[in-house]
Amino acid sequence: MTGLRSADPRSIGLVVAVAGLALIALVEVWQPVVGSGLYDGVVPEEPYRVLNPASDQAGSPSSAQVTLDASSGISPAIVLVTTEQPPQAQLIATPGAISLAPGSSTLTASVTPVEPSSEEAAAATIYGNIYRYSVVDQAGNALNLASGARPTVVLRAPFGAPAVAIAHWDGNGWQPLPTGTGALPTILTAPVTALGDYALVPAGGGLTLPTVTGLAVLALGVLGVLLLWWRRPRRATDANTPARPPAPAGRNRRGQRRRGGDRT
Amino acid sequence: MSCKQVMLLCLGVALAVAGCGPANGPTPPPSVLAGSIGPRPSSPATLTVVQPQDGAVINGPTVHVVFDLQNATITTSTTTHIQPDLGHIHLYVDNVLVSMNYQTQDDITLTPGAHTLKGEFVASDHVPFDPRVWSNQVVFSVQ
Repeated sequence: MTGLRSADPRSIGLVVAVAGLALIALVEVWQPVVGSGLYDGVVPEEPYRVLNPASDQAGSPSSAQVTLDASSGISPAIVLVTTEQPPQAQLIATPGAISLAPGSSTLTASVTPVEPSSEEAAAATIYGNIYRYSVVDQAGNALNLASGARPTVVLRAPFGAPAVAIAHWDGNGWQPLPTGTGALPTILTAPVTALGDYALVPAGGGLTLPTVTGLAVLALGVLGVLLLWWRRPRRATDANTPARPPAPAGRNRRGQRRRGGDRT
Repeated sequence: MSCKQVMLLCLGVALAVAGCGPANGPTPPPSVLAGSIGPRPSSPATLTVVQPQDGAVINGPTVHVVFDLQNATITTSTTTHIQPDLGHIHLYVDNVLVSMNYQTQDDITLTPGAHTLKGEFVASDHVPFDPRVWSNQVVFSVQ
């Protein structure tokens, strides 16, 4: 122990560090860590697929369609899911959500990404694709939601999108709906009362996250300038203000003794 | 850096190495390893959503979820040394993975509207069996 105590602490540390590295190498040789790491259950989001992708975007968004038996007279549960991971668009409806026409034997529900009309494109900034939800019977006749039915539209927001809400195109404009967040921050849900076109538009009356962030940065900048202006050294520019007498030797302007001020 | 700091650093490295080692016994054969490096084992487990029931209308936002797991046991350990009848449940809501459950019951919070729910029994390394052990999917409403 005497030798250890007298040894240089840095040398001891170096020895321990080398021993640790040797231990790592020994364990790796003895029982190598093989295979892939443990899957932690969190599925990474694949890039959002857009209908008309730019050079740095993924394209070919999927559609979904399902044909179901409706001969009982009550529409069955509908679960429409696009194939992206996580899905970019879904429709979830409990039984009875669709108003069936007399004689309906089957219904076909579909969700498809569509090009925006000129009116839709001009009405709001749209994040991601517009998805068209429709349900038709075996003859191709369009079916509507039953009175009081509130199926759920689920849309995934593109990564980096600001605060957005699910909106329905009512023929005149995008009507934002009360939108909740799903399992992931980018998964948005809204109960709906009609089929048709749905998309993500800025939430909160156009105050998007970048706008709010920009305003906050601007406010902080203005505050910083004001603080700098307030804290800047005041100069004796006023003719009525007597000039400050010089500080005595060995003291600074506040009258404090300088370090080493006695040394001459 | 002082001697104590160096020693603590080395101790931390040693503990990290110990944590990286296999948890249970020898390294499993490549045929049962996780990911894309080999085939996955099958499992005798069956998983059923007991609650909520299909078509149920629930006063939210809290939804009580109950699974029935047969022919398998839930284990909290995470290891690559997997067994067909040991694992845990991955819970999916609206076709998105919500949580990993080490019990057969859970409370989740959902927004109003229609939702889907299903579970998957996965191995102790969090990777699915082959074939995958899915539960039934239920569609229900939250008010």
